[in-house]
Amino acid sequence: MSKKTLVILSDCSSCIGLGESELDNILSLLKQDKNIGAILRMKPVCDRKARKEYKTLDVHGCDRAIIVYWCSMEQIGASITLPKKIHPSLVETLNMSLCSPKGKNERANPERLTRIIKEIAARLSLAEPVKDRQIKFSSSEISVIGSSDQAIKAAKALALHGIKTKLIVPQSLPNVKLENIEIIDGAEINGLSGIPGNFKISYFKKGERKETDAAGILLMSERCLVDVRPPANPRIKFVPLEQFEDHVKSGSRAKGIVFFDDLGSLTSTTDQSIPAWHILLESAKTAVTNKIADSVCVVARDVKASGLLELAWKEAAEAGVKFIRYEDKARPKIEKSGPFVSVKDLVLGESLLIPADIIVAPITSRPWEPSFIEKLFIPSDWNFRVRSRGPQRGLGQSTCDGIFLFGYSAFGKLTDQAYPDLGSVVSQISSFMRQGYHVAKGAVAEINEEKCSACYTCVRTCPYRAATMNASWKAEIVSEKCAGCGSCVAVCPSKAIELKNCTREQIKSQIETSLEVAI
Amino acid sequence: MTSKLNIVAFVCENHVLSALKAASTAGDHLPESVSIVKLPCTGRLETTQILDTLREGADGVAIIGCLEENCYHDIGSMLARGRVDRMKELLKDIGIEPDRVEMFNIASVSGSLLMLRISQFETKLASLPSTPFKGVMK
Repeated sequence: MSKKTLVILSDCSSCIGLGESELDNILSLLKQDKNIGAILRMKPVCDRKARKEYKTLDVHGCDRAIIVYWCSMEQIGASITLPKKIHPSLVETLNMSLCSPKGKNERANPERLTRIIKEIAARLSLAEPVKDRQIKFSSSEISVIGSSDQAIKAAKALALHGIKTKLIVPQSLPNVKLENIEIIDGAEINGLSGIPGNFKISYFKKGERKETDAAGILLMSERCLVDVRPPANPRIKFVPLEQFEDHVKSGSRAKGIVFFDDLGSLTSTTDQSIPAWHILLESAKTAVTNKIADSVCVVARDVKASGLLELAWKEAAEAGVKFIRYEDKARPKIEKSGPFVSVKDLVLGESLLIPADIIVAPITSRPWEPSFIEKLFIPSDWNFRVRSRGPQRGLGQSTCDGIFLFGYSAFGKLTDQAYPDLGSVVSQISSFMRQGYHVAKGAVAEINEEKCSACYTCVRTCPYRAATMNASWKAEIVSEKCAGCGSCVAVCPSKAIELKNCTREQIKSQIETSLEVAI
Repeated sequence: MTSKLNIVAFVCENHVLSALKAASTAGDHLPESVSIVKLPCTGRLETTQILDTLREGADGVAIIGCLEENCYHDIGSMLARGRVDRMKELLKDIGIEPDRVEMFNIASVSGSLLMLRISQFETKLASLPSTPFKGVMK
């Protein structure tokens, strides 16, 4: 089949458009073009009966088409079906109302119209037919990776929506059981592979390497060890919240234990960490029940709770844990005179001295560490923050289909602030899971292996992490992940990558045509 | 004078195309000197392609992409911005006015702003002497 373009002119002269003589002028100008095989004049596209005639029109041996019309209804071009000989990906619609001149009295310029049609024909003549593919999910589960109350909240909400949910937690939680949720605790995540809908998460549990399938992933914010310590004081011992369990087992007694929600409050750093409230409250409760201290206090910036967390607060308060709230302006201080922490109480309006032999604070709740993001091989920016989609794709959507974000990793928000977004994220996930398939684009980047010099430039650039290195040390584009943006094409120093339907030749021929006609 | 100009605009087909549509529904149309080349993302554009376009005889090249922090393909706009900045320095070195290449970042709703930017670019080009490459390749 020849690579000629069929130009279909819709007769819209009744609305705006052009007169008879001008149309004839256009026809004669277009006939000389080498890329255009035939020109047809059809009845207007807005006529529903006339649109049926488009289905059976004579293609004159062409395999691609441009439909030209003048209409204020922009989408009408998309509703036209052409004969099967013309591949749907090779049909271009051109709404000339978008480039007709200002003012009603002026007529459209026929020369300009022919120029635009010729430009499109030049690009279209080099195009190849492409088709989007649907890839079915191999699994019907979603994995929530993370450990705090945010993760538990999200997992519960997902389970309520009837989605099979797995919770993958780095800490060991032998006593925690949640309805309809499978908990994999003590799992150190090692890597992530596969395509959207068919992810494989590999992890180490008790030294053994294991794998689990997942259709989608919800990435939470926690588990990142940041080395922040309170100011050194010989009389006060600092225990990280994560190691408090070991401290209880050791059986040493103290006068007073103070739990902090955030180490930043003591070290006067501006960024706040996210307290793992469930773990903090449970630890405070065990400190009281095991009677390892005379007084157990929780000093927190903001005491707000709902749902599961509210219950935990209540249980801890009933067990005998004291809660003290402070404000950002008046932060708690460690007294130099003795093992005490002074906090300005907001209700009483005066400073309180709390006995504190031991200070316990979480050091984990921070954004993911760079090496973790690298291990997962998911799209991240140059600061190793996971890339999140802008508002056009919805809250909580990362640039990779099927990987969702919630909590600090997505918005830099604390638990309570992020809570209203949970509904949006869960509905995104449930609509993704119900769809049951992932759409892989047809027009993707392709690598010429002979030219590839394995410089890793495309691997570093791709915003979708679709470019990888294969076993024979050549770059490879995972076509299921590629969105066809062409970023890798432009950066490749050896010009080994070409984007389907937007090749260098196509762009060049379009520019040449437009300037040729103009000069 | 302005009708004799040839401007090639590289346009991203996501946000900028919808901005063009928004402008046209408001009755604001592209000037006749501008011809549009659709790209999946402005990150697709290579520096050599900008140079080629100038060599073919275009008076000016406009690269119109999404807002940098809200790019549809996340980094495309940022990559293009870097390339255009580098290209301007290169043009200065080889004795071509760097004003001939310009990049605009346009949100999908601000069609009138896009038209304003293009007309400003057009008047700036009109004040420059005619391009040395005009008719050379022919």
